[in-house]
Amino acid sequence: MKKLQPSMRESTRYLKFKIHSEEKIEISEIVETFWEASCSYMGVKELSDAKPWLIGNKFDEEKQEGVIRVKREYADDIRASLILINKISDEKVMLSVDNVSGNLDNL
Amino acid sequence: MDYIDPCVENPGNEILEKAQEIGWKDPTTYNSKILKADDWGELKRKISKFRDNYTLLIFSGGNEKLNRKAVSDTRIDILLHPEKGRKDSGFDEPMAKKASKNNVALGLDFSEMPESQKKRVHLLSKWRKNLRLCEKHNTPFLITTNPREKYDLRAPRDLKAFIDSLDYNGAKALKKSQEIVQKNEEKLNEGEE
Repeated sequence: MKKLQPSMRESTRYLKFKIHSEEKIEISEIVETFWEASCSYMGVKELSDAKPWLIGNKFDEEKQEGVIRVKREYADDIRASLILINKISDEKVMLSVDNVSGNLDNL
Repeated sequence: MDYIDPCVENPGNEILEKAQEIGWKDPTTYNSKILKADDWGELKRKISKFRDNYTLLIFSGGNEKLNRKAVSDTRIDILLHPEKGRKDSGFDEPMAKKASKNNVALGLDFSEMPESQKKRVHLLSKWRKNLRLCEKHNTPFLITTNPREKYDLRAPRDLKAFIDSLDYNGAKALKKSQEIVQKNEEKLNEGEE
């Protein structure tokens, strides 16, 4: 497929988040909870514009840290949907965004 | 910048540690009191009793008459969750004007966020209405996590992003508690001298 022109490229932001909980959370659980939370807060229509993506190979199970890629204009909305998550698989959790950057290397 | 969560009353060690880890100022450097009352007489007595001993005096809203009395009293710093237990938002234009005149801030309580999606929608629409009134009448407002345990806490910048996502000024909401604490600390120190 032909690549998009540079002027049409969308600006993205990478959000580095941390999970605070007693037990370790697996990536499959956080992915499911993240999609549920963001869909219910933003709605399918807005989320389709935001194009969020939880980057699988950047999730550190030891440190419980991960990275979400999202369109720049929706970074605040995705942060808001993350703080609305109270539980993951019946485990009490708190999510916080530690860093936001336009570049994955600068996180 | 120091971010202050105004409703951290008598925190345990776990809450203290977690709060500082995620970016809040050490809650032991200021003290706050949340007042609950069933009638105006009781509230007046409690205000007189606690005002000179606490940096932040917060009234737990919900009763319309007491909400109205609270915003008319300059000794109260924050009217917390005026919409609690109500079908309406608990805050109207005359209250917003009085609160602006008496410098009483409207407190959005994040711990009141329910699990049910339908109830979340109702709460957020009440918040939006109250924030619209605050913006129109230049009434101060702030957001707090009011934590009972460490997992109730939320990072200050995430709360700012939450208010920004509702299309209101999140930075203003975060700054307000620090301004109130600074002002009251100066007053209390003058009183001691």
